[in-house]
Amino acid sequence: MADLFVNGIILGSIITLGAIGVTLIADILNFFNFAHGDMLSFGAYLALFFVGAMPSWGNFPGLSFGPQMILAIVFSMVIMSGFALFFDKVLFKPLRERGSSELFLALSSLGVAFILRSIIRLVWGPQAQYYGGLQMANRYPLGITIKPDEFFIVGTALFLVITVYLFLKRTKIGKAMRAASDNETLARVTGINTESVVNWTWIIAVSLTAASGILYGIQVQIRPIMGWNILIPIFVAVVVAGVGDVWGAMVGAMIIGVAQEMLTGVLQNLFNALNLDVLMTAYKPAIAFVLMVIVLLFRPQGIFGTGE
Amino acid sequence: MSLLNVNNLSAGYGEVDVLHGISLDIDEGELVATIGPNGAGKSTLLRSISGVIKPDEGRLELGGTDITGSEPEDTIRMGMSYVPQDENIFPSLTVRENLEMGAFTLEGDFQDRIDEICTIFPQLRERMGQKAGTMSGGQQQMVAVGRGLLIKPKLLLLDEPTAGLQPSLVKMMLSKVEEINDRGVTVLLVAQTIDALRLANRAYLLSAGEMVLSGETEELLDTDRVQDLYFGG
Repeated sequence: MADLFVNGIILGSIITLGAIGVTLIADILNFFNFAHGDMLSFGAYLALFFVGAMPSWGNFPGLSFGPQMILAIVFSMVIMSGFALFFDKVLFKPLRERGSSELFLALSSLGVAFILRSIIRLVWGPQAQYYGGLQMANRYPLGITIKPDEFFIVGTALFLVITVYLFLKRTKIGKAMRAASDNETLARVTGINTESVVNWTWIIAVSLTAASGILYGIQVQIRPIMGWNILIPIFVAVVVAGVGDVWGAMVGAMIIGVAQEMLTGVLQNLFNALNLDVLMTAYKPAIAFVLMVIVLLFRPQGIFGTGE
Repeated sequence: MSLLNVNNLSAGYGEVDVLHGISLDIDEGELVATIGPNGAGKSTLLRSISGVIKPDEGRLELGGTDITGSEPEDTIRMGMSYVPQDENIFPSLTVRENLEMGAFTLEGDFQDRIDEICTIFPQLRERMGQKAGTMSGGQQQMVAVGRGLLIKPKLLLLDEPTAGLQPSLVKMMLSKVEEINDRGVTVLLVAQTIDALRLANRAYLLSAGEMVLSGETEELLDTDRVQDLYFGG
């Protein structure tokens, strides 16, 4: 059980980075970005390209990768931010200016998702790929097993969450983003440049999701469908927490990560004991959805949402 | 020379015309009220002057400079602040952050301005770190007006700053408006009550988007239209 909990925290860290992006876009740009998952995959593949293109400087002690991975993460985050700004300029901004509804913005983002996934299949093929070699897990008390890479995953996620939090809390543009999310009309009245708020929202949201994809790739493997699959728990984390709150997104993601891992494990043991031939891992997204329905029945505005 | 000159202004929302050929003048240091029944276009007038909505026709000048069609960020740089009637704070931001947003377009830390705002609204001093959304209606209104004062405006556009307040707070807020004007800020006030109107040197009466009457407050108070507006008829 303790091991499943730890697995849930690791998965939760990866979901957190995606969920913060989704919640910021939903809050400030007013639509659920269906391209978020495939942006996550694309970020992972870009890192794969950079890791391959760079000379090897050896691995960090204990980890399955070296300094080139840090550079690959940074490059991938920067390039994905550029992609996001590009898609905003050619697609989302014209739609906003024509007063498109949230539904059409979301559907357009679905189009972006398919475009990105097609490019991935075209360039990298459909087969699973890996950044580096396999890694043995270390054993800890209570039957917990953790791979050294997984400390890196959780640490990097935490570092990025704190960085974003400080950005939103301390910088002028961060405060303006929170102001615009509170009250867009008043933000305009006070002279806040809404265009730069939109740009920074994309930069933060999509660079985080690129990092999330790379960490997910380190943890499991890199596949064209990886982002689309994790998009469901990301959306559920945002809905469960209530749109618009960075810490909320993190708590929502942790709840979803831990619940998915633990419930999957518990139910699998149960079915095994009953000699039923059911593979629970296939139903992980269903667990996320059931959890979402339960939360929304009792708190339609989400756990942290104010209902505004 | 007048600080604000509005000449033959027409404005509205999309296909809906609200204001029809409004003209008015405000001199430096004045406290001028606009009055009128609900739906007369008072709020639309302030929104058009501040640049939140663009005029369909007419000309706006601030200190002799043409500001017709300017964005709010430009008019703020030129020293004009606008405080809307409602939804005029950022609820999840602290009081200090709300005040800072008043000078988003300008550089600097504005601590001296925040200090001066706290001398006008002492209750805000202890609450700088509190989220504005958790405050009472009266305190939120102080935050909103304080935000408008941050740039040390030449002209402050105040849309019914007493709306929704209980009577004791209405009196307090009106005395603050008077104090702000005494400190040298020219004020254009949407006046909902007769007490608010009495603060003003002059007033303009709007009805159905047209300017129907203007003049010294004392003279206007004697007219039937103003009597009807405030005392029914």
